[in-house]
Amino acid sequence: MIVCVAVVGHQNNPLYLQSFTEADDALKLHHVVHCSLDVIDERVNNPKKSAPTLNETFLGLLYPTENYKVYGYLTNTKVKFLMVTTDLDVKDADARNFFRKFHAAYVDAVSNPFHVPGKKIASRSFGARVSTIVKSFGSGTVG
Amino acid sequence: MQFFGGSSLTSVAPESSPAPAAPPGTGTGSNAQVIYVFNRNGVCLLYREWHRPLRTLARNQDQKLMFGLLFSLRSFTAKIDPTSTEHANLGAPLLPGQGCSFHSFKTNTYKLNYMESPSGIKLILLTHPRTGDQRDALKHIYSLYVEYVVKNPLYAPGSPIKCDLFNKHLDQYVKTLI
Amino acid sequence: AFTAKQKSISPNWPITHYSRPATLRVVLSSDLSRPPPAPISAMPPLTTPKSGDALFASVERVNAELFTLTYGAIVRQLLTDLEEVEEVNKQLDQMGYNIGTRLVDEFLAKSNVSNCADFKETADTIAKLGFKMFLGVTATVTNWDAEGTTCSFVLEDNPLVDFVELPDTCQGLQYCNVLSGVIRGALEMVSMKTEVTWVRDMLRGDDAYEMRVKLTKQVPEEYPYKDDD
Repeated sequence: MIVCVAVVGHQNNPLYLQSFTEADDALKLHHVVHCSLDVIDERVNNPKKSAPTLNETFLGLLYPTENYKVYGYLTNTKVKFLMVTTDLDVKDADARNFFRKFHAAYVDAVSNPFHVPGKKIASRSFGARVSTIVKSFGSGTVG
Repeated sequence: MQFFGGSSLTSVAPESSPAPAAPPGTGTGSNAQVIYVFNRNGVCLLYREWHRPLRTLARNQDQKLMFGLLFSLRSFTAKIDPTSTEHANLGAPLLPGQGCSFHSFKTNTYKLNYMESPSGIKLILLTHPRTGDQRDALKHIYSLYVEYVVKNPLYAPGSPIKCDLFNKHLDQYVKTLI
Repeated sequence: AFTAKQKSISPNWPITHYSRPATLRVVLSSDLSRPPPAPISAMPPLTTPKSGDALFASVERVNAELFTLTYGAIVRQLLTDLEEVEEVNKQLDQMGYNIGTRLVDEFLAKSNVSNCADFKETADTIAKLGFKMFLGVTATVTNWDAEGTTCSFVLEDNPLVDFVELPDTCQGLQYCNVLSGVIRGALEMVSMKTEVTWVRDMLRGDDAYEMRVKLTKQVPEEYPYKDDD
């Protein structure tokens, strides 16, 4: 189950941050997201990075804690997508699929002429769409 | 059909292609003599002549009379329409689409071809009397007007046409008329 | 010189051939060498009007997203420049009007449509051919009033508004006001003065886009010059 998703701009400014838990642990999840940004930075700026992964938007598992696993995705415009899940056994394909849909939703949301680039995404339909994607992720990975 | 009719602009003959032979009697190699374009307010958007040896009137007087002639003729042709049951008084204003219209008239020395679009653009083309039906040609000139005048964002609607591109294509096209 | 070709033709169908023995020969609708075209309206067209699909296929097209984003950028810029939502609505309408006055000629030149007999036919033409030609969608004409002067265009699909979500600060904005302006401008060029208002808007949570078109006046063609000229 996905507990938190985030979109972070190229200057590490938060664009969208939403947690999906009943409990009041939003702050903790935000902290996890925040920490994982450093991991992304490290990976991106690591010169020893092998060539085939340079064009890869999906960053894979960023870092596991005892409760959560954080997955990342980086677009060519340096917008980062993060997903925090409690599932222990996440298939790479599922995660990729999730980010693909998430990215598509994001693109449509920033195409709204009333969205100001670099500002938080306030769109309600984006929120609704992300919730649907998050829910479908849970159902698609039973077992 | 030897017209370059139709809406496609690619049908404009390039300058290099030989123009169809003019019918005997014109002596100029060109059939089209004069063109007038009026808008609905009687403003002469375009006057262009290719072959008009005799000019008797001042230009704007000439244009005004031409518009007056067409206006009256259209009103009259609608009036004498024997198939129509409702006849307004002669000269009574016509609603758009009301009454019939004429396409051309012919004298022994020239033929006047006329087309009016529902938006009130009137095209008048004077040709040699032996030229054939010019309605397709007028339609094509109308589409040239749309393409090079109406779509030109710098053209102010209702002002005289000063678009070189339009004039060039028009000149090119009328050379092909027979 | 009347021919018997006009049996099934409406009473205002012009005669097929009219000639006078004098040198002035007025050809009214078509000369005899040409078979009479199908009766469409008072002025016989050389070719029958194209269908909406054929028309759409024949015009140049532009990427829908480019179009939507361009329009969005224009609306946004207007909001920034004019600040007042009401002013933006007015400006969009004016822009649409200016577009409409030019667009109508393109429509007439490419669609082979000639004069429409009445407002009903005009409305149908706009809905089936006009919208299809320029937006790739068709509208439905409904809600006629008793006099036949007011009707509604209902758009289920509107390419202008993909991606768009009105923010709370712009609730009064008629985002698609350019469309109503286009209709108004185009109809004015064919001598119909209209008032166009939006009654339903999906951006405000309605189930479709509906604009109400009211024909206020049909302007007859007048002789534009003074008699003493």
